[in-house]
Amino acid sequence: MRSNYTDKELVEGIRNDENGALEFLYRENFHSIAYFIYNNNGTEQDAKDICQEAVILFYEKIRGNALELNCSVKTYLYSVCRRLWLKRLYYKSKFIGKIEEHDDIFSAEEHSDAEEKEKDFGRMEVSMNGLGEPCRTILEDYYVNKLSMTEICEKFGYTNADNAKNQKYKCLMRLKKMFFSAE
Amino acid sequence: MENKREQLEQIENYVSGVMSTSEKVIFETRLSADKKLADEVVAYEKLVKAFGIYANRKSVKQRLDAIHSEMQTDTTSLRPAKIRSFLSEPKVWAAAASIALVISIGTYLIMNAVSSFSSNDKSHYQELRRDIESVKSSQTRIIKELNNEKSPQPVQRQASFGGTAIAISADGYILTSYHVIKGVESIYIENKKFSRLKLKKIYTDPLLDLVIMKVDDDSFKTFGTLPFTFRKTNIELGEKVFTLGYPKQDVVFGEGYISSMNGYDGDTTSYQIAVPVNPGQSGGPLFDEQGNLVGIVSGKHTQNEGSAFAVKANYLKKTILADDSLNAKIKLPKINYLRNQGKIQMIKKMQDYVFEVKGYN
Repeated sequence: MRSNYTDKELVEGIRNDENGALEFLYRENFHSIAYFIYNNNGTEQDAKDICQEAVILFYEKIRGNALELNCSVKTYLYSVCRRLWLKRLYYKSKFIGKIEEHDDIFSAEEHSDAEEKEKDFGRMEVSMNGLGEPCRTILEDYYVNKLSMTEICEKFGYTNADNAKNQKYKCLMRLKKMFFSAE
Repeated sequence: MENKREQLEQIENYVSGVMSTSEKVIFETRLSADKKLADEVVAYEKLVKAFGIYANRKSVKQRLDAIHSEMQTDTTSLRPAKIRSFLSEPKVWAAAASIALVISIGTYLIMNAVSSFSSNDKSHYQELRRDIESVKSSQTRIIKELNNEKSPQPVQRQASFGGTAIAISADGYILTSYHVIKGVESIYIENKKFSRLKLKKIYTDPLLDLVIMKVDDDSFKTFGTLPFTFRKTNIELGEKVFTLGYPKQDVVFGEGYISSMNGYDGDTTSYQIAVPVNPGQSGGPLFDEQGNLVGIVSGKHTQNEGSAFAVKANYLKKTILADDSLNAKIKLPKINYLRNQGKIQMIKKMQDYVFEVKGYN
């Protein structure tokens, strides 16, 4: 891991999906975020969850060219975490104050967009978890790891590619049903 | 079924853009005519998009988890230094102060009790066993005076020696310093949760100054799951530690840091700690900030202010594991349930497993 990145290098590194940049981002920010969370009714697990969620959001935005930073990366991440955590406390009704949607960092349109995305993500997570094996792995292999049907056929020991295709089709149908019924 | 599958494959090809131009034209004509098919395409797109987000996050999360666990194995703690100090909790402080007031008269006398050492090179080493007899007699005198001797006090056998001990397995194994129970005939432990339990000696190690005992009491079944573990990695110089002990009849918390990696006169089996300790705290557990057991308090320096000693946990484990028959019997706790909790909660839970040792001659 490189010992230092400027913000610009960091963003560039994330954009190119460099492992070192991701690691630097996480290591550099975890402590201050964890500190905030410990001091606001949170545990170490909470700190880990929130910090990872924020890093993932940041990563997605950079990769999708959807972020124009007008402050330092550290400040950005910190305010994302702050918002995520207060929201979580709010739902646990431990925080009664108003979560000011301050910090010009987030525009209103960004909010609704992000919320839609979060909803979809949540539903997909529930569906995938409910899908079970081998469906989950088959779909991940095909759509994420971009394995070919022949490779999947071999990996799961189907007699021919058509059987594997059929299985994949069934899995996708089940996922679809679960995903849209969770709506 | 077959049709549906074909249709899905077509949608898939269309959305992922692998259709040839002619196929695409045909498909798009169908699309504009067939409302149902168009809906299917939209649904598919949505599904794939959500799936993409899910998969991406999952893989980034896996990478972050790896980074996180790597950070955890680093020597530095993940938990930043806490600002919350014991003294800044007004309620706790007030409670402690009031308890201290009530008991201080009796206990201050105890502090002078020192068990002597024969060898010269340990002349500045003080074992922290508490000698109770002298204090008790003076206490009875005070009580008598208070009651004007109206009612005769029931005669209760007074303990001769006191110390601290810690439970190390759910089924009743107890660890304390050897010198606490040296030359003592019957040994009892006491705390709020389990009240009073009789012990028998299982294994003694005078060199390390450790003894393992087991509860030998009909009323006892189990301590339940112990919430702490032995620390697996080496502790570092300067790390924060705390102890719980019984220099008086209430549990007392003490906090400090590892001030040297070796103990008295270069003793490699113990640490030097900067934690205020007093007679009665021998055998008390020394925990790190995450609630892992790192040592057993054994003594202090008589000349240097603020240096005490604790036997290293690695050696504790070696003692326990040295004997195969013991090793098989004692099931050390494996999971630390206290990691994520604040210090106050941690102490609250640990108290149940820290005992006052009472030895009778």
